[in-house]
Amino acid sequence: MNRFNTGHHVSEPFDKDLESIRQKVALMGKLVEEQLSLAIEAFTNGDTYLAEKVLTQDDEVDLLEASIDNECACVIALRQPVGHDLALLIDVIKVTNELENIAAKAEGIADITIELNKSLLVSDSDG
Amino acid sequence: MDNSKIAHHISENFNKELEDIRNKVLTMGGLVEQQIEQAIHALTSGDIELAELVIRQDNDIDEFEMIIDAECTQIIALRQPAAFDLRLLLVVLRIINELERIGDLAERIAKVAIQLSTTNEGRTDEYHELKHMAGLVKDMLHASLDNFARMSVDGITQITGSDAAVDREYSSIIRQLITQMMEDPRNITRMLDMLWTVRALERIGDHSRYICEHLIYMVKGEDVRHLSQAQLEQIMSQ
Repeated sequence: MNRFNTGHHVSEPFDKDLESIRQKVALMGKLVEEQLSLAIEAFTNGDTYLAEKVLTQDDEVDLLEASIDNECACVIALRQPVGHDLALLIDVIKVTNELENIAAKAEGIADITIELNKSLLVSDSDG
Repeated sequence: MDNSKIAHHISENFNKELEDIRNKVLTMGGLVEQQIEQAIHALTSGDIELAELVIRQDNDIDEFEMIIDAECTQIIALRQPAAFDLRLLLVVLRIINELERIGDLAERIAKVAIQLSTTNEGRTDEYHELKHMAGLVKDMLHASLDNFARMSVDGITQITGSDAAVDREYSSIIRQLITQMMEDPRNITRMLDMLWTVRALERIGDHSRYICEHLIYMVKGEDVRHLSQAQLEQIMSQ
């Protein structure tokens, strides 16, 4: 079922707005999933290079969050939705926040990976 | 209280609704501040009853979040606000989410307090720095809620700036905990519990900073999340 019920509004542009938001949320979700997998892979393999990639890509997640939130706010202001549509848009803002939090955790795992590798290098040279 | 930002609507009722939301958020914020205070007190004094009270009271915070959440959605639907009013309501939704998370962190500290109370005898001296750090994050939260009450962002970079001090305090306490773990491995369980607490305090600092960022969006309409302190200061000085 498509919660975004695309195609049932009298206003066609409104359907387009919702569809654009839906696609961005899906994209953000995919990106966050990937970040988490990469971060865990970097941690378990001690791969600093991969961990740094996770850190760089986190900006993309942040940008997507800001862009989705902004789109939701604009749609609420311009289309003045009620009922189901309004609830949906507000839920989207909550979901992007959760996704961003998960991405921040992935970033945290990448940070730890880099720190851990650094301290291992130090103790190696000590011994 | 300065009402110029929310009391200018032709509809008296709309003014009242916004005022009511603001008051509820501030009440919720006060409750959350109290939860941090009590959780830290329970931990440092080994007061299990107080810790259990904090855990119970977390339900009140959750309930507040749901009530305010529902009210905001309803107002957006009925009043169809735009510009500042809409941003205010969207920001309230975010702020109560931050507050709820801070509430959860206070609850976690209370759980640690119960855990630690069994091995607490005669060790209250080592909580000096923990108390100091708790004071810092409580001040941050209080100042950001104060700005929300005034609907203003004056001096807000000072609040976000103190997050760096919290982070420094965090690293310093962590280093001490590690030293103590190495000195005596019997300390490790206790030190891990302490580590959770310090981590929770650091997160509370982060969430207070996020509240400030939401306030900047509310007042200036600019999304300033994920910016560095320097970038933030530059935007605010414009």
